[in-house]
Amino acid sequence: MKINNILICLDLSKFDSILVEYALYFLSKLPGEKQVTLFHNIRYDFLGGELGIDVQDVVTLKETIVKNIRVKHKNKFSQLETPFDIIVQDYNSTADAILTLKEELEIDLLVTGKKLPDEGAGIIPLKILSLDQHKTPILLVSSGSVLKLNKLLAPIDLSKITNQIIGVADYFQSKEPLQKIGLFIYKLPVTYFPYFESSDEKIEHRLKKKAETKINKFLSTNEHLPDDSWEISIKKGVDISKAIIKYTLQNEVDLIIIGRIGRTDLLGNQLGGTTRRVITAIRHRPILII
Amino acid sequence: MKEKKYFDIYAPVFYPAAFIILTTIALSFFFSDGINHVFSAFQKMASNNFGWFFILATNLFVIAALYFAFSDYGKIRLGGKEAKPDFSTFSWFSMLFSAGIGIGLLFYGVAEPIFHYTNPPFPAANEAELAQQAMAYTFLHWGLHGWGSYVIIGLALAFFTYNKNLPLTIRSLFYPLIGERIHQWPGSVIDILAVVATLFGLATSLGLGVQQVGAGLNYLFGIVNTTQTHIILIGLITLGATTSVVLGLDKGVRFLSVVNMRLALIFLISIIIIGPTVFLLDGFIQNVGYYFNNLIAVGTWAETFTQGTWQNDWTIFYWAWWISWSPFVGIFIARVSRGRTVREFILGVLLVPSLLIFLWMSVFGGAAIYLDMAGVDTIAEAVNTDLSTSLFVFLEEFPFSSITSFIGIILVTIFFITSSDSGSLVIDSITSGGKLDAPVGQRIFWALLEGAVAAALLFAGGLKALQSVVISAGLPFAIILLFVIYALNKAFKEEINEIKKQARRKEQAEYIKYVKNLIEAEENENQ
Repeated sequence: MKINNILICLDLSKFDSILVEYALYFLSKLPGEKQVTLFHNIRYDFLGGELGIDVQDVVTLKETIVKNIRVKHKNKFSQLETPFDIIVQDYNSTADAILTLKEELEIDLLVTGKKLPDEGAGIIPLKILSLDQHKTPILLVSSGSVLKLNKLLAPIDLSKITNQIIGVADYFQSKEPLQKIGLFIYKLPVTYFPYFESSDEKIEHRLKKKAETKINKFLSTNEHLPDDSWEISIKKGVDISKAIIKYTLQNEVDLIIIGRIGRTDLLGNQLGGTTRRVITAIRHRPILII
Repeated sequence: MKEKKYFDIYAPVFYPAAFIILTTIALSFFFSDGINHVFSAFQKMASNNFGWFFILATNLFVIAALYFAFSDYGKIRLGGKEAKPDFSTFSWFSMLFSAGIGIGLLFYGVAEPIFHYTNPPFPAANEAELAQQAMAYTFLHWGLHGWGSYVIIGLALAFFTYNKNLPLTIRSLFYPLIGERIHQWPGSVIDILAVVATLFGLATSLGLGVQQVGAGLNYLFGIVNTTQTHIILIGLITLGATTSVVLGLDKGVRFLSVVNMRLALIFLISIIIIGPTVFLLDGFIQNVGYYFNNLIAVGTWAETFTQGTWQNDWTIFYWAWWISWSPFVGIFIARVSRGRTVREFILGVLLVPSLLIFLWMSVFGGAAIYLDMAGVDTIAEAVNTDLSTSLFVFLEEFPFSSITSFIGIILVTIFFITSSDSGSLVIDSITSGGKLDAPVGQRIFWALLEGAVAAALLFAGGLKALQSVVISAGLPFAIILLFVIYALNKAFKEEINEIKKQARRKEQAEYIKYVKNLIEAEENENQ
C-alpha cells in the first residue's frame, strides 16, 4: 500500500480551503514524498450562457482559475514543503474528468468534499465511487472535519477488503501511533425471527461466540492480521450500517476507513449498500473509502 | 385591499355551516329524543363495528408522528428556515394544553382511575394489580394515542399554511391529493364538515365542563344543579369567551391560558403536598414505566376474547372524542406553532402534554385510589352515581377543601373559556377562508353560537346526546386523518427534495458569482 500521488478535487467554493487543509494534514500523517495535484473542472452546466464565453475566452478562463487557485493555496503547501500542480479542464462531466485524469496521472488517492444536503448537491463523490472500475481510494471530507487523527475506526467484515483496510490503517502507524479499532458487527439472521426473542440470552450468546470464533480464525490464518496496536470490537447489530454510525458517534472517532464493497460483492456493484448508508448518514467526520 | 371591519365571510363555507348548525339546534329543541336516538344508534353501530378501526388508526397516528419526528423530515422548520417561534415555550405548552384537554382533565382526573379501579376491564388478582391496570388504561386514554391525532392534523396544517402558503383551513390538508380543487366545492365541503365537527366537539367538552361547575356549585353552595343552571353557566362562560376572542390571540387567549396553566400547576403541587406525597411520586414513576412497558399491548387491546362493552364505553369513546376534536385543536396548535421544527413540534405536542397529564392523573387518580384502599368509599360512590361531583368529594377528604374546591371551580371555568375562545378563533379562521385573524364581529358571532349549540345540545338530551354527536364525527375524521398522513408524507418528501434543489441553485449562483469576479479581476488587471 502506498499513497504518493494525490488528486484534490476543487469546486471553487468556500469548501476548497477546508478540503486542502484537511488533505495536507492527512498527508502529513503518512510516510514518504508526496505529489499533489489540485484539479478543477469548469462547470458549464452551472454557467450556462450567463457569461457569454467563447472558445478564446475558455483558454483565458482556465489560466485565470489556475492563477487564482495558486494564489489561494500556495501558502498552505509551502509550509509543508509539498510540491503541487494545478490542472483546470472543461469536460462536460466532472466525474468523467476526474476519473480520466486519475488514470493519466496514476493517482493513489482522490480527495473530494462531502457536502451536506443544505450545502450542495454532493453527487460527484457518489458518481465517482459508482463509476471507478479501478477502485482508487477516496477521502471524503465534510465541512465539520477537524484536524485531528487520534482514533481511527475500521469497520471489518472479514472479506477480502478487510486486508486492504488493515493495510491502509497500518500505513498511518508507520509515522505516528494512533488508536485503531476494528469493528466487527454480527447480525441476527432473519430466519430465526418467528422463534427468536431479542431477550433470548442463549441464542445471543451463541451468536456472539460464533462471531468471536470467526474473528479468531481470521486472526490466526491471515498474513495481514492486525497486531497489538489494534483493538477488535465485536458488536451486535440488526442493521450493520446503523451499528457503525452509532459506534462512530458514541466513540468520537476521528476517521473512518471503510471498504467500498464487502461480502456482497456478487453483482459487480461498485459501492455496497452499507458503505453508501454510512457515507450519507455520517456528517462531520472524514471517511476514507478503500 | 381594505380589511373588513366586522365580517369577512367566505360564503361557500360560512352559510352552509351556519345553516347545518342552526338546523341542528332547531331540531334539537323539537326532536331531542329523536336526535338522541339517531346519534346513539350511530354511536352504537360505530363502536360495535369500527372499534378495531379506531384502535388501528390511533396506533398509526403515533407511529407516523414518531417517524416524521425522527426521519430527515424532523429538521424542516414550520414557516421556513429563518422562522422564529411566535410564543415562548411555556406559553406554547399552556395554549395547547388549555385548548386541547383542560376541562376533561379536571372532569376525569379523579373519576376515571377510580372508575377503572372499581369496574376493571379485566379481573385482577389483588388491589395492587387493579390499581396498576386502572392507571395504565387511564394513561392510554390520555396519552400518546390521543395526542397523536392532534399532532398529525396540527403538523399538516402548520406545514401547509406556513411552508406552502395555503389557507389555515382543513381543506389545505388535501392539497397533495386533489391539488387546486381544494379551492372549489370539494374543499368547501371539507371545511363545512370541519366547522360542524369542531362546533359539536367543542359543545361536548363545554357540556362536560358546565356540569362539573354546576356540581361544584351545588356541592359548595347548595345551588340547584339543573339544566337551567347549566344553561345560565353556559351564558356566563360564553360571555367570558367572547371577551377573550375580542381581545385576540395574544391579549386574550394566551394570557388566560398562561394564567390557568400556572393555577393548574399550583393546584397539582398543593395536592402532592397535602396528599400522600411519597405514594403519589412513587406512583408517578411506576405508572409511567408500566405504561411505556405495556404500550403496545394496552394500545392494541381490542376486547376480542371477552366480548364485553367496557372498551366501547371508554376507549372507543375516547378515540372518537380525541379525533373529532382534532380539526379544532389541530388548527389551533398550527396557529401557535410557527417557527418550530417538525421534530420540536411533534415531541412538544406528543410527549410533554402526555407526561404532564400522567403526573396529573397519578396525583389525582393515585390519591383517590390511595383513599379507596384505605377504606374511604365515598369517591367510588360519587363516581358511580354522579361522575361530575367526584373531584369535589375527593377534595373533601383533604385539608382546606373549601379553598381547593373553589380553585377547582375557577380552573374548570377558565379551561372552559380557553377551550371556547380557541374554538371560536379556529372556526373564524375556517369560515373566513383561512385568514389568521378574522374581524371582531365574526369572532363574537361564533363565540355566541358555540354557547347556543352547547345549550341546545344539553337541552336536547344531556351528556348522552353530546357523546353520540361526538362519536358520530369521530369515525369520518379518523378516515380523513389517515389520508392526511399520506398527504403529509408526500409533501414532506417534496419539501426535502426542494431543499436539495435549493442547495444546488445556491451552489450554482455562488459558482457563477465567483467565476464572474475572477474574470472581472483579470480584466481590470490587464487594463
